[in-house]
Amino acid sequence: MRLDAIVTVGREAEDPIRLGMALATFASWARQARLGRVRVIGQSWGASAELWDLCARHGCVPSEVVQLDPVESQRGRHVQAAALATTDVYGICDSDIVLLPHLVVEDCGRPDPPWHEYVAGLLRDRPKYAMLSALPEPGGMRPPMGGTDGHVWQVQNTGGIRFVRRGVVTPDAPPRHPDGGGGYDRDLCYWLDSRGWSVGYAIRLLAVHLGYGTSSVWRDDPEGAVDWREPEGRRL
Amino acid sequence: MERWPVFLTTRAVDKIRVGLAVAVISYWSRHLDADLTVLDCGASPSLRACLYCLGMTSVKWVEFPAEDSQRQRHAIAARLAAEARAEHYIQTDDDLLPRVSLSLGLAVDLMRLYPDFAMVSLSLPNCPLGGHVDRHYGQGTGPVSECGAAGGVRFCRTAAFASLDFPPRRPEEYGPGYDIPLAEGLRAAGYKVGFYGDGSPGTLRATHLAESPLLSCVWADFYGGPATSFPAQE
Repeated sequence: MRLDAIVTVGREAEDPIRLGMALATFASWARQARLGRVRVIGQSWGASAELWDLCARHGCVPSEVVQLDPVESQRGRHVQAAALATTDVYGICDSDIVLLPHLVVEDCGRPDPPWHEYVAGLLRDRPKYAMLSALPEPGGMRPPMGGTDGHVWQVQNTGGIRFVRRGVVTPDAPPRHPDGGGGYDRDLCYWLDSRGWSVGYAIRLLAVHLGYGTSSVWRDDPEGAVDWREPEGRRL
Repeated sequence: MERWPVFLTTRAVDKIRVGLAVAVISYWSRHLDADLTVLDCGASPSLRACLYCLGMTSVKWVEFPAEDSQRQRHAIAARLAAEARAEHYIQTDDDLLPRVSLSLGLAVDLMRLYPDFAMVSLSLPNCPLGGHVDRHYGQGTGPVSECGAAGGVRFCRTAAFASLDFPPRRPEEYGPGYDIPLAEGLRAAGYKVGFYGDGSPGTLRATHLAESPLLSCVWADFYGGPATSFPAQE
């Protein structure tokens, strides 16, 4: 089996720091593509020519690059990804986060299992879930809801590397709420919740959030994230 | 405005690591307080090609052999800092991204308040134990906390390093790393090492981008080599 992985990259990649992160991100997905685990689609809204030039030099150009309208890009990326996806579960991913496809922290260093089959199975076996994200470090989890079954932890909203059940995100997804800061995760997840879906973290799939602290969305509070796994919220 | 020498070691071969190195070198090359020198012990030529494409053509670059590189890079940085008559310098890696608002002057000023410390590292919140090696060693959680060893983004006192007889690595005890032997050598010379602790400003932090043994240039082999699918050297 194979997953479609739609990787969104925007204007922020004009910044060399963010460009390096995007290069690392596309390199990580290209490796998974060579293993036949994903088909990588780049979703671009104003990404610099330098990024694609460097990706070409490194052999990590996505199989397809689609342009994304910068107006309402946070919402539009999800709607467009839903239309592009051809697999039952697809990924929609930021360009500053690298998946570590080993399943538990303690397993670091061991050959990884087929994570793409694992995450598809998580959604298949949990029909109430619309979307699961890899657990990012640093940054930690969003506010949790209830406990965990050892594989999935339900939360209020997720982001980063999201694995989505095809068909749940539709063109009538809501616009970004003006009071929600620069992000859209909360808007989308609350809308999914209103339709009876849950979202959560696949807590055994880890990801390194390269862009933590250099967010292109949350510039006003780049260091304000809280790790909700700590009892009182550990400020990172 | 005072500028401090920054010595950044790279061995980025893997494509992912090249991307990370591009991000980190871009950070330091734009930092107004930093005078960057890259210490290259076997990085892919594509790293320099990437930096060239991005217009970073004036970065100082020193190549040195990969053999015993963990020890040699400290010796090279200490020598270059002493030649530059810098009181302090920074020794760092290509996968450590400090907070955007990091003030080198603030970090150095704090070091001056602790003259018995030879090396103080930025705290790494995304590392196990916050990047501290044996964090309960010595004093508690002040602005500067003594630890058994320190790594990452290291603020170094040139006088302590310039006179140091750098101890050999001890791979049979500590694997491929050098932080612990170096700390022991500094302690033998009468100094302490540590981290900017919980009592220090929040800007004295960094993110370890390659926070996995599988992404490490140093430790992957120690853990039995790269995983079958990630990240094979290319």
